[in-house]
Amino acid sequence: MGDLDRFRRCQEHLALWLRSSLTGCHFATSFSSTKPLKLDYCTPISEAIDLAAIAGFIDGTATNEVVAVVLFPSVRTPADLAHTLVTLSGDPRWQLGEEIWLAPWPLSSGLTDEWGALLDALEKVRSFRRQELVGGEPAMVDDLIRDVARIVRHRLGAA
Amino acid sequence: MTERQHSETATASVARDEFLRDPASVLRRAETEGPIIIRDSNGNPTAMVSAPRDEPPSVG
Repeated sequence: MGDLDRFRRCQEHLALWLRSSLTGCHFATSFSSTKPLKLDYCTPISEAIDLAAIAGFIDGTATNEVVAVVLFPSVRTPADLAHTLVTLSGDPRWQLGEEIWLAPWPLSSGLTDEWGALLDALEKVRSFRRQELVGGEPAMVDDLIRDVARIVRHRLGAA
Repeated sequence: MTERQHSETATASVARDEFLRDPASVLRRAETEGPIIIRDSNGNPTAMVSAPRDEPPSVG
């Protein structure tokens, strides 16, 4: 299969994935159901990523009011991904930072492990995202941590 | 000619400088003309842009 065919296949996969609701993102699902689907793609071909071309592409899509997608079909391994991200961060419009990954749905089956995961997620919210909480939310998170910790202790004691 | 070279030859191209001057118009071109390869001053491909507006195949 030629490279251009492979790029086209990547585009089709992305459009299908967005439309499938598997992303868990309502915006992506809603937006991807519009017809025609207005996604513009940019795919680096050379070994060295052309940062200026990618920046120009993003600006061009903004002018045309189209969603920009930059595809990297050659990325295969975590090392490839890390290399790509580091390269992109050479442009001021890209930024690399360490983020705490918050579990979106830590509680689904109600098993003890999941209550523990929920407790962990809440504690991470309190530790790393407290500045984003508003109004009565900090107190609400504190209350939830106390209550979920009690449930975990009770379940562990009952096991 | 390899399959890759044939595929790249058959695809429209634009000089990198021209793309950087007015990327929006190149992208509008890609909507009707299909994928466009961006080439550096030596003619080497650096990136490809495309703006497909047809429906992707459905799952299953």
